[in-house]
Amino acid sequence: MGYELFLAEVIRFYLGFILFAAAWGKSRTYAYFKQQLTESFRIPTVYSRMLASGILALEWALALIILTTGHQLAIIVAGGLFSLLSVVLLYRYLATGMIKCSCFGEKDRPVTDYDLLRNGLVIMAFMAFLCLDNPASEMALQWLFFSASLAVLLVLITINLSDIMLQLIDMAEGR
Amino acid sequence: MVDATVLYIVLSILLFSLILNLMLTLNVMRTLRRLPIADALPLTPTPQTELPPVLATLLVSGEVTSFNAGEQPAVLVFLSSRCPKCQEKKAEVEALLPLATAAEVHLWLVSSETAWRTRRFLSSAVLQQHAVLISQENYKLLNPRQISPFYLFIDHDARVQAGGTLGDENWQSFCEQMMEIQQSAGALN
Repeated sequence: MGYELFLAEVIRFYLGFILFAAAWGKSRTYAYFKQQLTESFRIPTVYSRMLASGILALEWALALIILTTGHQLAIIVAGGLFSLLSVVLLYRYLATGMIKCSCFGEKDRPVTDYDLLRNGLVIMAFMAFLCLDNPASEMALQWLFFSASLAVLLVLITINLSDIMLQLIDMAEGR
Repeated sequence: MVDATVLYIVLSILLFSLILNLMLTLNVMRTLRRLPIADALPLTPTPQTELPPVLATLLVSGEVTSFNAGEQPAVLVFLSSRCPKCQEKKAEVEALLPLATAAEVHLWLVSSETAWRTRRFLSSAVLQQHAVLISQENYKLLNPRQISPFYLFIDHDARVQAGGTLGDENWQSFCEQMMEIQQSAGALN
């Protein structure tokens, strides 16, 4: 079994779990997420309700499809959605310098540079997946297990990137 | 030679323990932030006592200064790029700057973060002009609990008069005083 298949599976699990974490985090802080759409992203309350439930439903659906079937189309749609949200986030961040986003369920913490770096990394993973030609062969169960756990570890580091980086900086500066 | 299957099972178990470790560590970190450990420390340096000379480097020019240079009273404001509230307080402090200058009070924005981070956080050139960098040791001396947004009032003899969180009673009366001084100066002109 080639490394390409393994890599593709790791990235597929990675993207699936990223979307899963995003959907999970937003569901956990749903009221806050909806409120921030209005406050930080200037979306009128009437639409933010619709938009919040729309984004949430789409994320849940995409996460489940990617994790179970790994359908190419689902990855493309998810990549598009994620890039779009990231561009909006980047635009609002540069425009106001102080926004809050419950992207992965983070509450009472403004968006930091590292959150944007995180989104950049995820977009790169989307692109990497689409660049790999996806061989349609099946992996043995132990491989599947291994790639999934590797992906979960990477997801955990990715979604907590801001906290980890700030902690590392504190350590380096001797606080 | 171990079977490859066994190897991957072992690797998966290792990864899972790593995941668990990371999750628990992050959770401990967040719990620690909520705990009032820092409350045991005094909020400010001992009031009415003279501060030891603290060397501060001006952010813009790199000059080394001390807080009671010229024997003027000084207000030290501690903001951090890390705290969400500080972002909102920047405008308030910037509005106070001309008033403080008119009232012959030094206003310093004190930070122990790196120069580039402070510069990026303050963003406005006027605020950067008043920013000073001090060592971590001195920071703990002036702001024992390392909280922000925090302030200290120092009189012309470098004695600590008061300190607390930006927006508390003392701070508000200071702001009102500054306004009054400006108004009476305006009436004279």
